[in-house]
Amino acid sequence: MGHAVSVPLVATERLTKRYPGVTALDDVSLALDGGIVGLVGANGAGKSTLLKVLLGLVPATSGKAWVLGLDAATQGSRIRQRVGYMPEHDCLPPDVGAADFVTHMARMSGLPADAARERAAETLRHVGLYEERYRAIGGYSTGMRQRVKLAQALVHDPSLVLLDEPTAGLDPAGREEMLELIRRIGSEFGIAIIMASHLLGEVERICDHLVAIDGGRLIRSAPLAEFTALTRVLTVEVEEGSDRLADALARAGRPARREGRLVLVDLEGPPPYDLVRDLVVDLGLRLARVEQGRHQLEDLFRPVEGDTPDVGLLEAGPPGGHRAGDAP
Amino acid sequence: MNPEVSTPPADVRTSSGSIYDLGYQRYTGPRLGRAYAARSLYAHGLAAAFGIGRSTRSKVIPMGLFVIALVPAVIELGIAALAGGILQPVRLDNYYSLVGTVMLLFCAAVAPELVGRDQRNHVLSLYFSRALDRRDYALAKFGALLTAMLLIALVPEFVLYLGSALVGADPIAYLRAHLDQPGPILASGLVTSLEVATVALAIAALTPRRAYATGGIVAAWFIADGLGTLVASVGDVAWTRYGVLLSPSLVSDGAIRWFFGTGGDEILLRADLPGWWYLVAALVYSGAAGIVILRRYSRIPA
Repeated sequence: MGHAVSVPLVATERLTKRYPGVTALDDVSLALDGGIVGLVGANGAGKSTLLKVLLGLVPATSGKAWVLGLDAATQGSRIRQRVGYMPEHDCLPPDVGAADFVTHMARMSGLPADAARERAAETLRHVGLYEERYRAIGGYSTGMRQRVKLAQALVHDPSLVLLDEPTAGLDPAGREEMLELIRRIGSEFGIAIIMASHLLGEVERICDHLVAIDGGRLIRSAPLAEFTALTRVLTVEVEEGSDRLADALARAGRPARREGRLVLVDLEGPPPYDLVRDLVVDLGLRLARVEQGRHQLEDLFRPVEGDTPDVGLLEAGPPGGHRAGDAP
Repeated sequence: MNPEVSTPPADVRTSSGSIYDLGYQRYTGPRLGRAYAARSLYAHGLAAAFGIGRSTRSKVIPMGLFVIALVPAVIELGIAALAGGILQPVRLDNYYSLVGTVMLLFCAAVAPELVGRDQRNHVLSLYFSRALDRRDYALAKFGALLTAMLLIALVPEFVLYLGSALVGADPIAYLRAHLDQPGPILASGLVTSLEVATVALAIAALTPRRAYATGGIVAAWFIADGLGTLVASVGDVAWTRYGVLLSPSLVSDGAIRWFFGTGGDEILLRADLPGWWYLVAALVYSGAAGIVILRRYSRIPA
């Protein structure tokens, strides 16, 4: 975490993957350094394809990819021994217990039989499966199945795990628990994570770094803080009379926009804080909050002007999720 | 960076003091890599082929067929013991034609379990995202089925061979007189097992549906057998004798007769092909099926 490593955790160079009739990845160049990386984009944006290319499961059409300093095209087997993968789709046999299944998967990752059994039990405990791990997986809830999928990705103690839509199919409470688990894996277990999600709200809650792709193209890769950096706009919320406040600001030479109860003041020029305070007092308004606005992640996927978004499947997050712009 | 994170995760005791969490521990033991993973998958598949590590119900068919394959040898030994070894309806060189159907049914039941289950449950992406690659997976599964076939083919043969020695008056003399037998036994077992295992696995690998796979294996085998026998039985036309090569059972039978240096059934005698043709035909069937298996696994989405 934060060590100055000579090779990036993951790097791609002009990575392109074409399937007949569709370009899943288009000229993507990236360098990622660990922590919890969120890979966001609408369904079909190329997230799963990127993960599969990194694992060496799918060959790139052109360009290069490296994971842990190893070439994904030629050293896939060595990469896969140090990387865990949780696919999006259901991938568990119904007629085996989780303990046996995860043990078997640990051996498939190269762990000796005894170590595989111990690590399987320990990993299942870490993801919150105890006695039920001996029951056949067919009888598990979606939440339990997601945990088993996560456990098989962690059982061989990888340096990096790739999680594809880890909260898919979970109810709000299950989603909370899964996100908390992922956050712990990244921070306490010290395992680097790349998590693909179409839910921005999830990604911004637990990720340190964000990679946004759309239509196979890289939109941006940057630390989360940069995505949600302070804007040059001051948000003033008054209970009523926002129209009067905006007018008064305009008369005082500080043009402001209104959005319902919010008055947005451009921060260019001298600080407007005293002016806002004085005007609120003069007008006798009830001030709810004054806050410097933040970029919203959704802005990334918003077309520049007017049009309806062409990434309609992208969701801001489950109801109740915190937005970056919310007051702390 | 963060000092709290870099300290080792000591026992974190809760206020009650009764529960403690050892925290996550890194794995520092050996990582045995790809060859070990493939060997483990092979052993796992071989056990699964006999239902070991599965429910009792899934042991019934493979174990039952294994016992059935042994029955002719045991009966023959019983007869030999009682009648002094005069009757020999079951011989080493015709044993495979007796158990050939058992081997086919074993493959039809087990091959879909070995390869169809992982496709049906979408587990392949978990395998292929590990140390193994696609070819390793296919070879490990194939090796498991081939070994199961070899057990079914060879155990009764050697029971018959060694048993015949023991029930006789002079076992040492019997073995001395039949020193030439283990070679043909092994060669026959290998060719028969290879043919049925590759063909069955190739068909099973094509579908995640168990019923289709089982039905497909049995149907393909019997249709090819029937067609080959039919063509080869047309007596008046010269080329129809090559029809025996269409039948996988006649092909392996011909190879076995060649290994043992004995004659064949009427239909093989009438075809009158050189013995090594059958061996080549069996290897062509196996090779073609092997290519189907590897191609399937190089393309199957995961």
